[in-house]
Amino acid sequence: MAYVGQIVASVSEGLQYTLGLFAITIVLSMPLGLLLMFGRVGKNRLAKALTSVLVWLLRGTPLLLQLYFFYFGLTFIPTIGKYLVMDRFTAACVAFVLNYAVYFCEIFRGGYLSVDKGQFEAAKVLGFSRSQTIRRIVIPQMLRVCLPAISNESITLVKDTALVTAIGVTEILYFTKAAVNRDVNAFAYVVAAGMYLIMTYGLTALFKHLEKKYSF
Amino acid sequence: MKKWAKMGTLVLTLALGMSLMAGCGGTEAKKFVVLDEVVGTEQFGVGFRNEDIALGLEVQKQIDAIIADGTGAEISTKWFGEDMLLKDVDYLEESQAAADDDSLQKVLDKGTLVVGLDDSFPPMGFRDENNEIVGFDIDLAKEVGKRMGVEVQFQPISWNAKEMELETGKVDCLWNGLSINNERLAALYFAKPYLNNRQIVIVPEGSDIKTVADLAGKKIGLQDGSTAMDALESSEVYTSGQIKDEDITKLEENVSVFNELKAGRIDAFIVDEAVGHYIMSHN
Amino acid sequence: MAMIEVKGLKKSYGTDLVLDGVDFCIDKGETVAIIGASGAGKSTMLRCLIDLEKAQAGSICIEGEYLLKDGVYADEKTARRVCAKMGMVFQSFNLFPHISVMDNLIYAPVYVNGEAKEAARARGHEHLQMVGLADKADAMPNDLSGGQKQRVAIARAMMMNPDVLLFDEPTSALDPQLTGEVLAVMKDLALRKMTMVIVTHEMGFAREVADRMVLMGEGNIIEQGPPDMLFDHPKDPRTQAFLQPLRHE
Repeated sequence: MAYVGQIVASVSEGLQYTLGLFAITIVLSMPLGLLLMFGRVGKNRLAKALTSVLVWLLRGTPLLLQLYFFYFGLTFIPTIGKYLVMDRFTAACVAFVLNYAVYFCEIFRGGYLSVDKGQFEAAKVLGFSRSQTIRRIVIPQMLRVCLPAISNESITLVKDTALVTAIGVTEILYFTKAAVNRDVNAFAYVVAAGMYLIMTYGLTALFKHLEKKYSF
Repeated sequence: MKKWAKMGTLVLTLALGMSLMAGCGGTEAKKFVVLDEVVGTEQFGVGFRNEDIALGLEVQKQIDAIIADGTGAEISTKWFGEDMLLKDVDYLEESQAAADDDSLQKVLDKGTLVVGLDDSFPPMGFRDENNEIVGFDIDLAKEVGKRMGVEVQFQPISWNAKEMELETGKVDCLWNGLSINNERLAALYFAKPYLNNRQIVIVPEGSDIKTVADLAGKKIGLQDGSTAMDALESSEVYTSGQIKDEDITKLEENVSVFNELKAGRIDAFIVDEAVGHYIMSHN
Repeated sequence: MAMIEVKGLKKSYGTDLVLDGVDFCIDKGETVAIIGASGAGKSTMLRCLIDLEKAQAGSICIEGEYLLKDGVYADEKTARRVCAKMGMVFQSFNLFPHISVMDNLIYAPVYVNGEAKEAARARGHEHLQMVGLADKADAMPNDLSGGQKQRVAIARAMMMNPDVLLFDEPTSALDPQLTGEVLAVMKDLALRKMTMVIVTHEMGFAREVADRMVLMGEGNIIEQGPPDMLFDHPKDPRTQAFLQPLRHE
């Protein structure tokens, strides 16, 4: 039992980076995803092309590769490379925010397309401007439709945070491996699994509540 | 319904935990031995960027001093039970080039020496119960830092990406059980080797593998990206084609490879001597 | 001055000519029913009036202000001002499903016109009473029947105090037993001299309530006049063919 406590304590040290990365990614990638979505469904051809390429690039390559790119790759760019040197955690955040923004963009796009054309027409004849229509009518309906997918994506995000060990960010899995190597005992993996389960359970409960609250 | 789901999760977690614990416990009776013959001998050195010769030579100067005044013997005895440091070794070929670069000055100016390491490499560098990074290389590097008048910052890195970490300037040197081989000699700057490292073979007690030659046709496991592979590749049993590449399991963690051996999925485990003894003694 | 004046309105989708130079006027307080077979261009014309569809030629003038003049559209600001004089009721109601009935009513007055929430809510209650749904203020749209939804939609349109109400087949999506309650509300509006343009298939209702009926076919107006005249003394053989089967309904 004392050993369990010790493992929990040492693995928990990674919690700040796991939770920090999760929070920063969620908070920044959702608005960015929304922005990308409007670029993608909008009429501006340049914005459409740019966002489409971005979605293709970031959705079409492994997140691990993107981590390497933002952490190591950018620094190799001639002349401007030396200004793009980010510390580990920052690079991890940049890669995660961009990668998840693209997924959220696609989730939101699905939600946007599910909003009935009649809603836009009703808003127009009532005199709503384009931005009022988006804000008051479209986004609330869209988010409701997207909630299950957002829930799914955020749970995936919790687990994806484990990837950043690859660039030396000391999150939960990182200290888990350290404990396994130190003690030559795989029990720390169970502790880590338990922690991820607790986090995803909390998220599941939260989204269940939100879905109930915003049902119509 | 909800209660049941919760209960189910709990039971599942417990079952998973138990099976893992039981898995470790059940095979604990199994004993392992180290073959007398080794696959190869290599040497540990501190790796710097190829152009950072001034820094490399300064660190080497301090290591030489530490060995000379007996401090090195103390550190070695603490971790290995004896003084294993290499003495009277010479600089590697071309290692004493003109040190006219500013790498040393840069480190002195910023006051810190950033050491990149894989902190899951006991006893060279690893995390203790309080998650502090400790180990033989850690003590040695700290002593060097103290004598240079700079603070040593230990930066854990993914060992697979070590060259990238160094190349992109995220760390100043690679220092924990870094075996010197030809590839690394081309990519990095080493001054002198400081420790001998033998690649040992661990097999279950009673195995019919008694010598390196007996590895022919067997399943072998080793750490991905480690020099155990280099050692194996240059051994006769491998060069004569008696070991199939698909029979070599490469995993990221040495402990994982050891677990493969315990599970019986591999017949032999090739590993750095220091690490191998640590793992066996903690089994 | 005519409330709505349309001249030479033309619209086509590719080579498919939907409106072929339509001319007509609607006076203040008039209730006009637009009838015709499916594909005759009725809905398209109605939607052109409130700028949901763009015409390619002609003029649309609402209370002396042009939305479209000789094929050229007014700037966005003018267009919005012109369209604000009209309200519209859709076949599929198009209530906002994520907000309550009361919020459906007050959203536009509050967020578009900047009316105070309390004042808007008070008017909202009046309008709900008018359509017979005083007790549904806090209900969500999806909890209402189709007839109730359409009555809320009418109340919502009325909240903006339009000078004209456009109805695009307001009862077509309803079960027959629910059309009555919606038609009753519309009849009530007609009696109060609300100017209304109604695209409908409800011939009985049109004959009873409309001051004038307009029969459209093949992208143009075939015949128009008081209901009794169209039903009893049609001039055009096509009017006769269209209304004959319905005469004794």
